[in-house]
Amino acid sequence: MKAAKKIEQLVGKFCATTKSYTRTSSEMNERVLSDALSAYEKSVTSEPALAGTSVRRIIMKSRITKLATAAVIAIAAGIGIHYFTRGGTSLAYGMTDVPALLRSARTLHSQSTYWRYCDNPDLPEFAQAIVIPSENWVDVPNMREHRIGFQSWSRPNGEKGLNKIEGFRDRDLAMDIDHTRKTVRYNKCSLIKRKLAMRRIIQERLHMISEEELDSFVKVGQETINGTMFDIWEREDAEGRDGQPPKKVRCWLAPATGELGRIYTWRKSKMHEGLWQPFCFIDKIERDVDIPASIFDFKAPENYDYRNTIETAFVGEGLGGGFYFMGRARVSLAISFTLDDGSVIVAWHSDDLQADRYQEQDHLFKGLQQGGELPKLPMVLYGLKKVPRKPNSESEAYYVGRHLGFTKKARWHYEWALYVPERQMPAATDGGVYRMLCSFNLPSEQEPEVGNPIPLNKIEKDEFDMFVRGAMAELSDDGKAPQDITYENVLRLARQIRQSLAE
Amino acid sequence: MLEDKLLIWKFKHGNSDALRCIYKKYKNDLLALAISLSNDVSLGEDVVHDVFVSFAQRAARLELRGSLKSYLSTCIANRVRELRRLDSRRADRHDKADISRQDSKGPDELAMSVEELHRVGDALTQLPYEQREAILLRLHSGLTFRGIAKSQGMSTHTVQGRYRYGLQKLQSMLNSEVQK
Repeated sequence: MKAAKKIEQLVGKFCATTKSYTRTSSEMNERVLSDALSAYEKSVTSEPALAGTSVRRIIMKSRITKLATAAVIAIAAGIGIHYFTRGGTSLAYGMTDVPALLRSARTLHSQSTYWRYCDNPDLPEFAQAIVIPSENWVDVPNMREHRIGFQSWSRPNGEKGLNKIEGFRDRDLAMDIDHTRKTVRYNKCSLIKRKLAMRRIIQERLHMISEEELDSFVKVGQETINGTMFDIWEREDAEGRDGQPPKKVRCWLAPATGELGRIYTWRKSKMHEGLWQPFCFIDKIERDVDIPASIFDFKAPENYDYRNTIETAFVGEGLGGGFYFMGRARVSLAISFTLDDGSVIVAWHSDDLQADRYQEQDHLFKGLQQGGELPKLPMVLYGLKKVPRKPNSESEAYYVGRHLGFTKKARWHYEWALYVPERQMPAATDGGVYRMLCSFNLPSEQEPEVGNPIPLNKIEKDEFDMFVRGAMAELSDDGKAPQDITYENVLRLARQIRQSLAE
Repeated sequence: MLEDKLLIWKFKHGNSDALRCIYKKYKNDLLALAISLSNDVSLGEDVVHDVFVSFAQRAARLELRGSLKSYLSTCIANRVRELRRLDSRRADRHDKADISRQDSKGPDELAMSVEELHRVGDALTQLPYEQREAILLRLHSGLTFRGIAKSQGMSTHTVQGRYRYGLQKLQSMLNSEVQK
């Protein structure tokens, strides 16, 4: 290869690397956006946009062919560009605006109906449905939620059931009422976990589609509901995913205000081929509505069986996450975070079910080095694999686990491990799923296995201290996070690990 | 490209979310370019700030013929050049002294973990500014020589010459690297 080409390649590599690792700070983002938006406001108010300009004209001015223009218009319709309404020049909200609208919501009130289907041997030609009403109130800044819904359960003997439940959340405290069993239970969870949950709760409560699905919505009509005109957007899966049948979503979005009128979801019937069955119909969605404080008051009928009190509210180990079993190993996955560079931090601990649970594990954490081997706990989370959500995805990314640090809370040692993809990965925004790759150090041999999915919990640079260091402090007896676990140090370590993997 | 056309259309028609999207989409690339060109993190941040404020001010008058990325990259390069002209003492000071500053991260420190890339970063900072600009606009931002020439008001030949001489200088500085 010619020397000049090699130099070009080297500089190209340099540019690609600087691009990968250069990140604007939150202070800079705030400053730039604040000043730019202020300038923009003045600009657009003093120089109104050209009335009558159309998407078509803009595109035709470019060199794109007419065929491409048609494609652009189709895409524009699909992704919900702001477009002119029929009568004038007002701007319109489209589906791609929905995530931002939801992210900015401070409160939400929704009313939904769920359908659950079951066999009825007396009526084999028909699907029998149970219709369940549900209602939610969410107050994001104050970390409060009130939810009325249901919980399904099943037993090993095949018995299944549905319980009507009601839940209150207020910062770290929760009250769960089971109206079917007439029981009340108080729980506690970490504030860190509550903060993480509040970030995604609105999206989950509305059963919103993931961001990568937004592109495939098409506008199928318009409808006026209570005097407000809504565009109707629709998309349907070609095939199911995550073990679920394909779904179809129809969304009513007011182009003038961004108000969501309804979100209806259907799923393909497992019993009746080709039949779309109602799954969840959300008929009332109120964003940024004033919710009376009394809605969030913890209240349960007096004749219910209180299993505990606020004072004795149960706090699960590992920031409230509790534990589960993998063969002979007992595992608690405390928390996980995905950083800007795609690397993942996971905190976990493990012990041998058949050994004394109070057995000291200090010796397993001695001599560990950052970037080195993980402690030989009964269950070792030696890696992760990322499974893309999109159907027919080919590649799965593998993440190699290395020791980052550890904390000790009460009798538990928590390993804070850093998982680095074997190749450069973009930050996780596509909603893929991480699965745990587990091996075991137990007296009796236990085969490695793929464990549960872990949450993505993508955090920004400026959230690192609040979430990662905050969680570390919470899982430390002295309430302090190790000094050397900083955003910059972790990213540097991830780079070193990635480099060593490449070599 | 098509997405950018739609963003620009929104942006020109009063949608501030489009401005946010454009910023979000290009902020890191543009900051990396600004830092690489200026060899100064603070100055790089100021340049990105100034470019976006100016871009916002021109919303309704914006006539974009090429790609948005090229346009913004050119604006970054123009602004760095402008600041250098306005404050040549400052530029000289940064070019020479900032490399050894302890409290500021140059682009190489931000990006590099591999020795050879460290050396490329160091070598780039030693190039005359015009050559560095031609190389970075071409290889960092993917601009064509014609696009760079047009934005700088000079001939394509001149830009190609600067690019070629710059690469030759880099080659001699990194000779041992390339011979491997």
